[in-house]
Amino acid sequence: MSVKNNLLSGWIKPDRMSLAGVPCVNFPWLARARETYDESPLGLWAIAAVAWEEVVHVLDTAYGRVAKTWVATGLSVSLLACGATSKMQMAASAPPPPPGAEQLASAPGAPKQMADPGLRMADASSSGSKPAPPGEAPRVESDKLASDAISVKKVLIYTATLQMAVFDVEKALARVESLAKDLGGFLALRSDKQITIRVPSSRFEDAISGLAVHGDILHRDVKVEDVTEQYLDISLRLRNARQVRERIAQLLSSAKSVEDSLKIERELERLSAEIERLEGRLKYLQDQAKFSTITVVFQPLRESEMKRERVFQLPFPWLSQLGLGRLLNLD
Amino acid sequence: MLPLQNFLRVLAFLLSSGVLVSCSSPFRVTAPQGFVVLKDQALYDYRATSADGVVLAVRSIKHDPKGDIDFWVQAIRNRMRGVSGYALLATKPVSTRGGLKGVSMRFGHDEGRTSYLYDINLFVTEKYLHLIEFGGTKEELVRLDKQVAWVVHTFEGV
Repeated sequence: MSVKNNLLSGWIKPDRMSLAGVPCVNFPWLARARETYDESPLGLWAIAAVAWEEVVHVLDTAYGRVAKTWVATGLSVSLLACGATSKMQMAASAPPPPPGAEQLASAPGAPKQMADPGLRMADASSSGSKPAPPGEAPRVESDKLASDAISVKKVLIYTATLQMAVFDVEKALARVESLAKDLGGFLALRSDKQITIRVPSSRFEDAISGLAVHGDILHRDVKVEDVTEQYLDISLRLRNARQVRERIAQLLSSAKSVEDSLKIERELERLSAEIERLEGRLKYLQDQAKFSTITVVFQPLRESEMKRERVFQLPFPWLSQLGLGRLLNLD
Repeated sequence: MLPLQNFLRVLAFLLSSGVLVSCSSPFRVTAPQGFVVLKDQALYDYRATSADGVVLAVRSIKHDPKGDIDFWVQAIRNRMRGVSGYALLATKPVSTRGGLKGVSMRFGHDEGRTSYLYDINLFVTEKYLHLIEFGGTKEELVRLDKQVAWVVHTFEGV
């Protein structure tokens, strides 16, 4: 059997192209060797030397000096190209981002701000990697983390409960309602001693400042809840549920028996209910994040509340005797 | 015998003087025109009322433990706002014609559906904390603002 026949019969198989466009000849034995010496240029040249000797030996006997020179030169160039592109190929073969990552921003119901690259949330636990020791750059781990990162802004829910002094309550209630409307919000609830308003989150601080002007704020309880993780989770589950429903709906048209159709319809019904539930939850979170909730209460703390809040009280009995109740009681 | 009699007379005079001093009120206040002074007050040392329900009361509390006026003003504010739910509407310095310097605090509070005002004027002396309180409906107390100021200005305390 000649060498030419060996080449044609697959002993040498150029099975892929390098990224640089230069043919990258992969010998089966060379591929295995490259896995071992991938990181070492010296190792690659050692493999080249071995290959050179082998090829020269075969060509010298079959085709003579000229062919030997041309083939040897071509092989060297190919090996160099393989070495130069090995890093690029390794980077290109890194695991792809999770299926939801790039689609999350375009998921139905997902807010536009999620596509904003300003803030990033990387889920280190999902990468399954251990944290790198200090001073050592975690190369592969960081690549994986970067691929898992999801561009997203925080989804925050602001709520505040203000306890205001009990004075001119009727007028104060009207002023609070008016303030909400002025800030682009609306009235959510109103009773004799309490009012709840919703204002755009961007005007939350303005609302608190405005309320301080209209009355004496005795206690304030402001909470900020970060629901970003919950929001992303629901968005992903919703997207997946919709995709599954689409696929199952396609199956319905190709169902071959009534029994199959019924099963598919039941599954579709279950998925539709799940989608509705997720949509409702997502809408609720969006609404809560978009509009802050401020409740204003016009009544003093009760005895039990004072104990719970641990309101500081001085040990002077005459202080507790102050007030209109005793002063105006002339009996 | 004569020196002993003189001694007993002097002793009796000193004792009677001491009793008189201890029984005398540490303040003097004059009710404004249109007010009636109420007798037999248990909680207050002095109380008077107008026909329209504005009430004036005075209490002199032994100044023990000692604290400066800022401490007592803050103690009253905290009590009225934090515990009783009153709105602090104003705080201003006041003084009497006798030279006492104090602080006036005006609070607001709704009783039922009616808005009331409640003034506390505090004077701190070495021996006493003098509290002059006024209370009444918002309209009435605002109407009597000048009389209230006059009562505070003419107050005398030790």
